Amino acid sequence: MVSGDDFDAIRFVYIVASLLAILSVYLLFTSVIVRYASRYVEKQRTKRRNQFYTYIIEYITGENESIERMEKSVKAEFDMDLFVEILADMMTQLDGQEVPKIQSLLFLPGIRAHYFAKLKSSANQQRIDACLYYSKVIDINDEELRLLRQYVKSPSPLLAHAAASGLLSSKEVRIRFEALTQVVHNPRISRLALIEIMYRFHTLALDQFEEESECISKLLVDTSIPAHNIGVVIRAITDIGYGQLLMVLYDLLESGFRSEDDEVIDALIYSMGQFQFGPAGDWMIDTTVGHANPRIRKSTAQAFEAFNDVRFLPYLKQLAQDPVLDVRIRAIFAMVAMGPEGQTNLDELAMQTEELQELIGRIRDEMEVV
Amino acid sequence: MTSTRPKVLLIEDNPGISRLVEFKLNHENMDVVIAANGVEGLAKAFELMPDLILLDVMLPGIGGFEVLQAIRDDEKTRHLKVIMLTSKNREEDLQRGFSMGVLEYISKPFKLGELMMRITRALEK
Repeated sequence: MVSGDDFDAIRFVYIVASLLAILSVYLLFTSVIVRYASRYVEKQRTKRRNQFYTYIIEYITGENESIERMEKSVKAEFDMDLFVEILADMMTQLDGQEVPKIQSLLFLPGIRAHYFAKLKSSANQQRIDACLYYSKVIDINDEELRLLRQYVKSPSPLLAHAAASGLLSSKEVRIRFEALTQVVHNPRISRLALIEIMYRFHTLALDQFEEESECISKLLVDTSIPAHNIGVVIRAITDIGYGQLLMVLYDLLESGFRSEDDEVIDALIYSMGQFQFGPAGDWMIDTTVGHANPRIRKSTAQAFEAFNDVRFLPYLKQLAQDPVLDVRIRAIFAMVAMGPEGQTNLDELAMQTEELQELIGRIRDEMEVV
Repeated sequence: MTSTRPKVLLIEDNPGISRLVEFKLNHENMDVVIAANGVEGLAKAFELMPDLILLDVMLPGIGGFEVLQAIRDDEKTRHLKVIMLTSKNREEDLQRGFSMGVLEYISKPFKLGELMMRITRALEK
């Protein structure tokens, strides 16, 4: 016979089992719904994407230049973000007459208002999305500019960077410089992000080179900027080719500006080498051939190679016997590159130790020197 | 009846660019087949024997150079004309590609008109 207690236990187990069964059915049901819903959304997204591709391609190729159908189809927030994403992607792939046409589509009525609303939002993510939209828009109006200027000073590095990106789309050097100044003072900005900002500061119009140079020369002497950021700036302006700044950079090097910051000195040496500015070599002979930091000694060897002047051979010879292998290798490469006189000096050097002989032999093989 | 329209195989993972190039080539009376990755591209190259292959260097999975190598390694496809699409300032790509018999290089971002001109020129060779 089943007692009262046993009956309660059976009833309890039955209730628990029923609840678990209901829960399982519920979970199964919701997972099926979620799966179908996400498939549906993805399908819709693909459909919309294909539709936008057709409209955009027909528009930029002149097949159908009516923007009305685009206006009609780009209404929901979801559509706007997708539409802008497609345009931005195409802008990175194409050059030439198609680009202004793609850019003009960013101004479709509704889109700009949508992103301006996002820019005014209190949520950082919304603001960041909007900033990235403005980074593709050439003409920023006063109100948009005011907010971007405000956000570039944000303690959130992501928002500050996105706002700087937005400001850098301006045609005015003064506004781009504001963004650059804010960013370059940030000790936490990554090297790559700063390089990107430097390239964006420059690229808009070649005829602004002089105005840009004037702005950058102010940055170079600003001692409140972290040394590693100034190092990146110097390398970037060298790679971009701001020849107007060569003498400014040389003066900084010669005057011992921030000479305690190896990153700055190293970047200045790099710059002298890239500009092939031989007169800087005399300063390097006195100061950096025997520098305590091997990275700077290595850069010095590299710069001497770029100057391609045999008067630096004795110093390269010295660097070819450096205690640090990396420096020795760089100096030997430089001597090989200097032609017959460099080779003669290397022959003498090879007599000194077996290690040097082997190293020189291997580098000559590498450079295919007979 | 077989089509006399030139057949171009475009191996490119960016759908916007694929569709744009397809659109333009269709207007120039060319048949275009698109492959979104290297494996698909290679299979289509062997299957279709196109008159020209437009090959992106940066592809998901098998890269553009691996695809090119496989095309060059096979007797059947060795002769196929290839134009490569690459990012700007990739000189090592240029040297590598030309040594593997690439006809032309087009740097991204590219001008659509220039791309069309180079395709026409390559097809005439």
